[in-house]
Amino acid sequence: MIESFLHEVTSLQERQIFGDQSKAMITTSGGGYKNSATTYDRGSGYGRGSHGKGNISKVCSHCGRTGYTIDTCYKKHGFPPHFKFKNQNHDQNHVNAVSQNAYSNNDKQNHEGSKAEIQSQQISFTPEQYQTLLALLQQSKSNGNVSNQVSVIPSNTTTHTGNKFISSFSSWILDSGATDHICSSLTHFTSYHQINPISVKLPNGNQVIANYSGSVFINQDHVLDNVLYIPNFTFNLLSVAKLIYALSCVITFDSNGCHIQDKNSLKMIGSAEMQDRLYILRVPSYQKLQIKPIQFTHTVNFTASDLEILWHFRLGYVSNKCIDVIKNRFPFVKCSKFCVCDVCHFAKQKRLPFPLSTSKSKKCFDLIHVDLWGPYSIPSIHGHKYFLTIVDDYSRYTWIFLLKQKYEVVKILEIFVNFVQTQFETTIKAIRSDNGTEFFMTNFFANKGIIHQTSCVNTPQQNSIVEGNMVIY
Amino acid sequence: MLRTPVLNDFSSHEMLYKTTADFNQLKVFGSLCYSSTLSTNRKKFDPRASKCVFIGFKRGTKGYVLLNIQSREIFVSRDVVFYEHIFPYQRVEDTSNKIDSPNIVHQNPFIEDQPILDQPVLS
Repeated sequence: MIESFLHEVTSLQERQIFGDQSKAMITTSGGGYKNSATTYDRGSGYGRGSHGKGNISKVCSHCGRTGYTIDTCYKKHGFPPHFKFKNQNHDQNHVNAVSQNAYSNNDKQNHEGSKAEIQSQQISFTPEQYQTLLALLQQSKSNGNVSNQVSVIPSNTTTHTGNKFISSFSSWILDSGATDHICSSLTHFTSYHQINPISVKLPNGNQVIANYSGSVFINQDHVLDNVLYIPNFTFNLLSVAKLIYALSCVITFDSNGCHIQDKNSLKMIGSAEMQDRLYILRVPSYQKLQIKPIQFTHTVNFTASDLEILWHFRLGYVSNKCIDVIKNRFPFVKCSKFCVCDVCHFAKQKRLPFPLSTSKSKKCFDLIHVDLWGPYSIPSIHGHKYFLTIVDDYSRYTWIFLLKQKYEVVKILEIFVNFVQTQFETTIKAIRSDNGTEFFMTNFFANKGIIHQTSCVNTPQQNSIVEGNMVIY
Repeated sequence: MLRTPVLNDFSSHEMLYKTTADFNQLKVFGSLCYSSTLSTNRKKFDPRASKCVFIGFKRGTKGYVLLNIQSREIFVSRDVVFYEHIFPYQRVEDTSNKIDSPNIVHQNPFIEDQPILDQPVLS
């Protein structure tokens, strides 16, 4: 029976080991746990309504209601977790319910023993037992944020004391039993502050007080807040529940280790290794790596020239041209042209104009423009899908080659360079193309001494001569 | 680039290419600039420019090699507005304000081995 109570307490705050006192109590009780399991069991139905409705012949001798007997009376045996109270005033305290539950289990045991004494509610607790129960309940209530460790940890600390990962300062044990992250060394913290003391209950029943909490980088982008600092600890704990809540991540455990991934993007945040049946997350020391914001000198300049740019802000980010006009009219308006306004650029910047190019080559084949077009949706009779256009910059003479695949560009350009050498007794000096990967024949161009000029990304305007030809076709 | 009496007051560039060099593309290295973002990768409310530092030229391309200050990317762009009197990575000790702040990280933007051309591309 007390075990059933313990079951409730542990469900309240995960796994808590009560130490010697509770162990002694466990030994005194026998076979009570099974009862707790059957407390909510009412045969096949999920609730009272499934087979109890309209059955007036059954009358509960405990509460006087019809439809069920005292064996399945919720008021007597406690309400199941899925039960919905119809009456909101029924604000039964959970702790009370627990005690009632333990108490009724005891009653049920009696009931099984002697069926005649159905209504007897004799308490088989001794008053001392009851007092200790209450005391335990009070204790569990007051220790709201107890951090519970997995019960295997004490044994592990004994077996692995002096082992690498305990002494290593960047190992974190993933612990589903802990309610808070706990760090043993202040060196891991990027920042920390004093908090109201939180008592942390250890598996051996001792309590330690955490006076500091802070934030720790587990990754360059992810920070854990409210990590408790407990110097007595010899290891660092990561609370799984808190981790999932804070980083909104998914943690998958398997035999090799454990992966922490972002919930939405499934980006890897970290992976823990399995070592001696513990999941260890290794975190490099990010304190040194912590990127401090670069202080730009122009912000210093900005404060100096604060007044000068003020009118720019006041007039709604007006242009320098506008400011000049206003300055002539109102001499008190001051604004320097050299002030930089980030917002203006982020909001208003356009592409630079493309002035007409005046440059022209002096000779045929000083510069040729190359471009590939395709794939066209309908291949030609011979299966050509692409065409390569070569334009000579001086004469604007145009060659067109039909291609089946993109990689043929390399072959054709080599042929063309040789063709020019033989037929025109000149060499091609420069080839201008876009950033298509098929044109990057670095070795070939280097051998021939040809300069390969490429346009900037997203600016076909720089390739206008051959692109203009494309329009014609 | 400079004219010398050795070459009858012609620059070496003029002797070789028979034209004067185009200095319009030359900018101050390490100066602040704003590069227009590509319209293809941009949504309606995304910034139209990114804050960059000018770090050099790329051989064969008429554009500037820039370092994006925020994302630490190095890229080539043509649409750049320069502020050649402002140096984002200048040491603060060097400025006239003389603020002693040892915490300031001086990061050298020139560690990247990008091809830096001392002569802009002629078009």
